[in-house]
Formats: sequence, C-alpha cells, structure tokens
Amino acid sequence: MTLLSVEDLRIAFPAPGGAVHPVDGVSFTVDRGETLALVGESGCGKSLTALALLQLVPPPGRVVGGRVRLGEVDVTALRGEALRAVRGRRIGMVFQDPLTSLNPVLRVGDQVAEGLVAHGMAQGVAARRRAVELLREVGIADAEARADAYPHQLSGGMRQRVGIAIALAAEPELLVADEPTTALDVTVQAQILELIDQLRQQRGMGVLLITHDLGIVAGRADRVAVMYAGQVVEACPTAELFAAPAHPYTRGLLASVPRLTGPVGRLTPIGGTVPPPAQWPPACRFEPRCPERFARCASERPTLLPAGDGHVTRCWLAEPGR
Amino acid sequence: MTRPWRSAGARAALGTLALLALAALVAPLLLPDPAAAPDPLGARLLVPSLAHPLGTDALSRDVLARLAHGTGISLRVGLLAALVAGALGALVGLGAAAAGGLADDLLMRGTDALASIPRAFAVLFAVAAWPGMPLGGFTLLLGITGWMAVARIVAAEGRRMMAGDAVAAARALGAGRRRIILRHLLPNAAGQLIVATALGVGEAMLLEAGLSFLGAGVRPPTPSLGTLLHDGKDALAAAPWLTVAPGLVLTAAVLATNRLGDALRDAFDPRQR
Repeated sequence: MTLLSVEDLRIAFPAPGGAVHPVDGVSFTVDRGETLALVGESGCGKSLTALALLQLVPPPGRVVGGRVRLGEVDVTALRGEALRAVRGRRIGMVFQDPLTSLNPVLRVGDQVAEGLVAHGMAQGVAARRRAVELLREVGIADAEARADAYPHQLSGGMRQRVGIAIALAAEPELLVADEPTTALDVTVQAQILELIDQLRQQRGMGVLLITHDLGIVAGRADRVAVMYAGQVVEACPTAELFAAPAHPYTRGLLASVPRLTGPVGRLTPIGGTVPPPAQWPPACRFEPRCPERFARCASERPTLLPAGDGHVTRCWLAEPGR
Repeated sequence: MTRPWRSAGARAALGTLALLALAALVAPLLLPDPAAAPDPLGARLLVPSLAHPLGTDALSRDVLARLAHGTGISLRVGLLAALVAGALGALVGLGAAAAGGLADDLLMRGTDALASIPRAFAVLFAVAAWPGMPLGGFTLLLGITGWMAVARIVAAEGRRMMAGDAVAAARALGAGRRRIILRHLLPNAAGQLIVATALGVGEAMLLEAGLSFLGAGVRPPTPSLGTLLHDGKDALAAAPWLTVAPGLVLTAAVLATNRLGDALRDAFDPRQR
C-alpha cells in the first residue's frame, strides 16, 4: 500500500539569469513497511527532495511544482498548524550529522521528549519516562542515566541513536533518513542501519533512505531510485539494480565502487563531474558524460521508459525497437 | 556548576560584589543616617577618625555612611538597568533572528539607528525634558538606552542557530516558532546574553556615575557613587578621601561585574563542563 507518493516535484532557487531547478520533476513512491533508497552524488538534489517532504526547503528555494502525498494528504498544500501536525508526527526525519542536528545545550532526554510535547502526546514525567523507553529501544545502554547527558558527552554512534529516537518519538508512519551514517565510523554505520531496519519491521514504517553509498543500498533497501542532476534516472528493485542496471549512469556508479567478491579489477570512474544546475544540458542531462551516447541524446529529452518488471530508466537505450 | 568558581579571579569578583552588597545592606543598621548632619557647620570636612572612618563631607555628613548607602543605590541602578537592557536586547535580537528575512533586516537596522545615538546624550536629553525624574525612571532610562549591543550579539548567535541543523531538526519535529525561540535560540545564546548583560551592569554604573557627577543623574541628597564624586570634587585638594573612596569602590564594582559575567557564562554553559 502506497504511503508516500512524490509526483513531479520541482524546486526552484533564484539565480542570476533566471531560476535554476536543482530538483526537476522527481517522482517516486514509498510503501508501508518498505525501504526505498534514494541514491545519488552530492548536488543531485536528493537532500533537497527530502527536505521538501516536510516543507523545509531552505529559503530562497521553494517548491514550484508537483505534489507530495502522504496517504490522502497533500503535504505541499499544508500550512500552519496542519503542517506542524505532520512534521514529526507522520514523517520523522533523521539528519546526517547528529553533532550539529542535536541542540548542544539541552539534555538528550529532553530532546527526545520534545517531539512528544510538541504534539501533545505526553508531558512532564510521562514524557520523560517515554523518552527513556525510546532511548532504550534504540539500543542505548543505561538509558536512564544517558537521558541526562548532553550531546557532546556521547559518542558519534550514540548521538545518532539519539537522533533516531527523536525522529521516532511521535511514532511517524514514514522515516526519512538523510545520509544517516555518513558522519559515523564504518564500524558504527552497520549498527545504525541495522537499527533502522529493525525498527521499520517492528513498527511497519516506510523508510526513505537517502545515501550516496551503493554499499548501504545493497543490504537494506527493497527498491532503489537513482538520481542524477535533479531527476530520477532509474528506479527498480534493489536486486535488479545490481544484476541488470539499465542506465549508463547507474552502470558507471556500480563500476566505480570496489567489490569484495569476484576477481580484482580496475575501478572505472565516470568521466567529468556533475555540472551545476545552471549548466544542465537541455536534453539528456547525463549525455556529455555518457560513454554510450548517440545523436538523439543531445537533441531529445528522454522520459522514464520501462526496462523490466517494476524497472524504469530515463534513457533512450531502453526504447523498444532499438 | 562548581568548576568556574575555582578560578581565583572569579572568586575575587564574587567576593568583592558580595562584600559591597553586604555593606550596602547592613550599613543602615550600624552607621548613622547618611543624611544626618548633627552639626551642619561644625563638623565639615573632618579628617578620617574613629568616629568618622572616612571623615565627613562639606555638609558635615558621615562619608562612610553615605558611601555604603550610595554603593547600594549605584549597584541597584546598574543591575536593574542591565537587566532591562538584557531583556529588551534578548527580545529584539531573538525575535529578529527567528523571524528572519525582511523583519530581521528592519529590526536590526532600526537597532543600528538607535545605537548610533550617543547614550549619554540621549539620557541627558531625557533628563532635561523631565526635570523631576525619580530614581526608578532614571534606571529605566539607562536600561532602554542600553539594549542595542545585547540585541546585536544575541541576534548573531540566533541567526547562526536558525541556519543550523538543530533548528531544522526541531522544525522537522513540529516545533513552532515560540518553542524554537525558547528551547533552542535562548539556551544557546544564554552564555553570550549573560556576558553582555554583566558588562552592561558595569557600563550602566559608569554612566550613572558620570551623569550624576554632572548633576543629571541621581538627585541629591540621595547618595550614589556619582553624586559622592560630585560632592567631593570641590574639596579635592583639602579632602581627597571624599573622591578617592567612591572612586575605588566604583572601579572595584565594575571590574568585579565584568569578571563575574565570564564566570556565570562558564557556569551555565553545559559545553564547558
């Protein structure tokens, strides 16, 4: 059952010489109990997309098109109290760096309780008791004592556990995790991902996992949407992505990631760099860097074409009859 | 909350202020009435003695009694004025930071405009416009002319927080503007607010002394450190104790409040623990 549906989302930022659209027609869905990974390099628009789900796009940027639907609610149309009631309560968000996203001068227990208080779900002693329970639930030992600690007194992994507890406090249906392990040691990354996965199963939440790391995707996501230059260029079940990537960009990404199994080979980086939004090519945005480009790619904008069961790709190579 | 007080400077500052405040509190019980002049003409400008430890002034009043009483008044004026300034500065600064955009610009440019008026001039002008201004009015006046520096400092810290992930995370949790100001901006700006307010105490005390010295502040016969300096200036050569004693007390009080601000910040900032 579809929980979140993002339809043709466009975000504009004013720029000299006309607005740029770092997110330009992004669509995807997340089902209940499912993990969708949104994958892409820095600057592809994946974090902005996540912020737009809660209307947190930093000004002067703003959503100029498309819709974000959560169940029957159009989140993009909400204002004031109605919007506040969705934030944290229906969509919880885990930020990249818990050191900067936690308030340095509030005890972590109080910060976990904040979501409960903000939504009138608990107050005072009851909120505190629930906060300690949540800290225990995210695997913090000695939660009663840790609740009185300040963020700087905790380790990085512990801080991110707190960040997850905060996001989960008001029992959201959808958890958005924006690069939740990027700021953490490799050894801790797996634990945090395992925790998110386990909580998803227990609570039946949908999870939108935003990452640049295909290694994370492999183990954790049910489906993957690959973003490039403000657009989704390929979406499919995770196994299919690794077995039969349809878009040259995805193939490039996979070729540039070292593999632990199989013969040792050279890594193949993708030539060139991601251009800034003002310089995106008018037709296929990957065309200048694409090793498989042909005439049509520079003249005609590709649409999402079917490339298998539940598999779409924004590439003319997938067009039937080619 | 204990570590900052281990510093000798912080303890000296706290001790100095406690001593001055205590003196101001118990003086009325032990010392003669500061206004009393039993022999208005016969005991003028007496040299310090056992009966009058700091001598007497030109109107035969006991200088120690007047100094103790005046210290209390100056401390009170400085403290209340700084608290008014701190509260106004926090309100404007945090309000501007939380509102952001055009409202922030308007509020802060207005603050800059007000800050460009010399404070002493503004107070002198108001005193001239209201000849019988009571002490409370004068204190309030010092407060409402002194909040701009606080507002700027607090707004800068507030803006930094607003741009950070912590506020984004709070908003993502459904926190409203009031909650963001009270739970995020204020606690994070508290350290700077305390330091700025403590500095404001010393500043207000110096301004009070300066204006009272000019006869435009605390009104005689009420003693304050400024009026004592004023009273002593005519007898500077004959009776230097009239000016030296209040001058030393003023210096000590201002130094102590400035140092105390740093200690209070350290005490209240959990990051320092």
